[in-house]
Amino acid sequence: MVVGVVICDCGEKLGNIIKYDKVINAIQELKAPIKKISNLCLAAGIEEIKKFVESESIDKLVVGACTPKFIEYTLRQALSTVLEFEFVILREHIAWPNKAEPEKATKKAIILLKTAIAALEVKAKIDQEKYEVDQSVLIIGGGVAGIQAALDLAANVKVYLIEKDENLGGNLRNMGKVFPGDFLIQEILQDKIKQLESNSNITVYKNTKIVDIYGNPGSYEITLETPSANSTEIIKTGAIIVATGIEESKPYHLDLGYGKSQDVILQTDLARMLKDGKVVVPSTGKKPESVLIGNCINCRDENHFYCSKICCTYSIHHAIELIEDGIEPIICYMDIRTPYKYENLYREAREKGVTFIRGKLQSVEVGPNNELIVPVENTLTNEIYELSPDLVVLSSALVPAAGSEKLAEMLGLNLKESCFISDLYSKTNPSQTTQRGIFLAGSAFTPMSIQESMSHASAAAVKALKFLREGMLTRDLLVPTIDEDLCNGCATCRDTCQFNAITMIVQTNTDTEIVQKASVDPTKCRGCGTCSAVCPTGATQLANYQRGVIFTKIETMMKAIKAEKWEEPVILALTCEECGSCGVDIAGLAGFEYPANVFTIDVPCAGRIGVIDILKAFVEGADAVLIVQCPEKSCHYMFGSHNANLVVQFTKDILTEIGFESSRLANVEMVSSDPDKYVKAIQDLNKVIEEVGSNPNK
Amino acid sequence: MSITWVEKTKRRYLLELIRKLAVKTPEIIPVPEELHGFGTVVHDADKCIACGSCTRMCEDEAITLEGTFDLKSLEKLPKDTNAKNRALLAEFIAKLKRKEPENPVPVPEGLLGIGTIGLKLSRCIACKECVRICEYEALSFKEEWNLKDIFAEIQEES
Repeated sequence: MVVGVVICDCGEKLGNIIKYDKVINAIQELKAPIKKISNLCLAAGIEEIKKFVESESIDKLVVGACTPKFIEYTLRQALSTVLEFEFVILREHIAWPNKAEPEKATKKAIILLKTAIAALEVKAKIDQEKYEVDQSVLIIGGGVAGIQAALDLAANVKVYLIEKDENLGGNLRNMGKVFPGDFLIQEILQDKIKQLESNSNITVYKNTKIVDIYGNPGSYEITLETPSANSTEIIKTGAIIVATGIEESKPYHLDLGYGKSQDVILQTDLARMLKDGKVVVPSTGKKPESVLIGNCINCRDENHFYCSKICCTYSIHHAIELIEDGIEPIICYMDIRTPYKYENLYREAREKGVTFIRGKLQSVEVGPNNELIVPVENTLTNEIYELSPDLVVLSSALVPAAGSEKLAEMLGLNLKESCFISDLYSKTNPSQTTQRGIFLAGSAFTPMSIQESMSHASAAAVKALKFLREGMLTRDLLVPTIDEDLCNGCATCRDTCQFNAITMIVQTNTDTEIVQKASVDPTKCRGCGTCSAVCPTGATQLANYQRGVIFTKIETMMKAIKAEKWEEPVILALTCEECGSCGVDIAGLAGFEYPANVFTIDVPCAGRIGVIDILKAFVEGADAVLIVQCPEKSCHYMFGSHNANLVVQFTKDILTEIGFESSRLANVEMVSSDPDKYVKAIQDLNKVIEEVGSNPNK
Repeated sequence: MSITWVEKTKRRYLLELIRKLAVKTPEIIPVPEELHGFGTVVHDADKCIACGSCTRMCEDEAITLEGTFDLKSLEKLPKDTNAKNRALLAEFIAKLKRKEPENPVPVPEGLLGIGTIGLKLSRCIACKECVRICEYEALSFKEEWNLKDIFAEIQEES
């Protein structure tokens, strides 16, 4: 097996910092073929590398150039014979931040290239397994989001649409005029339903429940309970879109009179009356003279901390309809939240004479003749009013539709604090749930207006289609392997995994004794490696980031540092490949200069870092260890950054207990746009080393 | 930590009956061979890798993973153990240490697969599932019912 090295000097611009001839000499001493080019990012450069790879029969390639974020994809596409790559970021991590110290930059380049070569020697080739993906999508929920996603997808793939009710349309069925622009939603809805039902690519199941979900991303088997004589039916599908939507919660403060007086109704009840063109007081059947609308009920309090977002707009929309019908509306609110153009709706309501009182409804009293008495405090003037409306309408918190929690459990999806279904990482991957192959559309994610639901559903449709078309990419399959001889069945990995990718399989071994072993589902795993960090035995090892690779990198790096007669203290940085490594790239791109004595090793996610990986660095003589990770709350793998924080805290306590300075270990949580945090962390660690001296284990 | 018994288990009920009848502190009682459901699980911290396998098997929460980790026991772990990550942890700590560890190290809440095994004898129904699952012979079973310790434990809880 031949490991080759290509280095690029970025149009000869890096040559005055890194001495490329010295680098070439050092690598040639290792007998590794090396080639220097100046234009790796251009077609001509790629051609040169192709020829080099062919003539030297190179199996694995170290690339020393700019950040792989720019070049990795192109290289992997162009060099299909190369089994594995390692990237040394000469430009952003070495030349630019250390441009004032060319000698150190050159040494650092040699050290990191040697480390990469050694790592490639132990990295295994990942099997190019490809998984079949069934070319159909199951959509759960026949509301506006589900319908929109079905129509978008049906031109390309087979679609199954499941609705628990006897009619399609969800919440829209009870709406008349909707914002923006007062259009009549029923016409649009009926038109969409007609399109849906006449499309031969869409199978609609009404009155149907999901009983069981079995299988993996790409090939699920769904058991449905259909109304026809309570029979069950099994359908096969490749992807799932969850479009289960929202419902209005029932007010839980009994003081509000809901359930006590029939003249206290919900905003959705008012919508239904407006749609039918007949707003009446339920107890008398007469048209009301005045209607009091109370917003933020159940909302923005200790039970539902969130704002349901759309209630302000639609309650104001309803108020305008009421005033046009000769009914006097009063709105009691906490804050008016009518974003974007809906601000005009608020203005229109004011101009038309809708009364607004800033104050949340606390109680609705029912008088002896069933009349309603509502005391309201205007918090802007501190005046207390006593109102006596004919009808009270409560805008109660919008919550996930009934049954969606159970469905989420069946699908293995995580819920947010608000009980809505969580997405994986909103910033880069909206509509994607924590499970590969399962997508989110509309208000199942968060309360949305009709327009937003439709856009979100279209996004989910595109994501689902992309998943079906691409299948499962081999790059995604950097998953852990389980050494069954070492696995003791403790299930720590299973309990740590946020993607339900690990199950415990019961086996019968030769003594007829029953044992359980962990088993990884590669279609669900996202390759963060947190499981291997917490494994007590070392049975779980993430492919290409297994213990052997990380340890080889640490050992080779420390040896090369010695060989290069590096005199300064050494900071070993373990960086996550998301915001960690990107942040270091951006520090270089943004022109930050920082001490040269930091040497980075990449891991897919900070969750991959275990106690022994940190201790190994100290055993090999690192003076300080820095862990660079995404902020805990925006970890790209849900739990990895949090686990890294726990590991760091635990390791620090261990170090203190054994009399080794725990201040040598630090971690920094940053998004890629705060490179200054990285620079500061390095400066701080250098100060620490100055205080406590070099690693006595050196 | 105090334990609230939401519902008395059959075993707890039996123990309370004995406690009511007892006129003196009981001693260790031998358990007849072939009588299931009684006996004492013994934990050997020096062989234990503290992975928590046993705690997941125990439906009665009689064996739990507590939130501390004892470095002194880790030192005594057999070098040839199958738990490679623990062996490496022991090796690295031995290389790095500049003083003998004295106190157990707290394990942050949420960090799984490490801790200290805690036994609640009064909850144990001697099903031996934990002994069976342990690959490191850290748990063993004695055919005797240690009523003395069980009573002391109940006393402490209340």
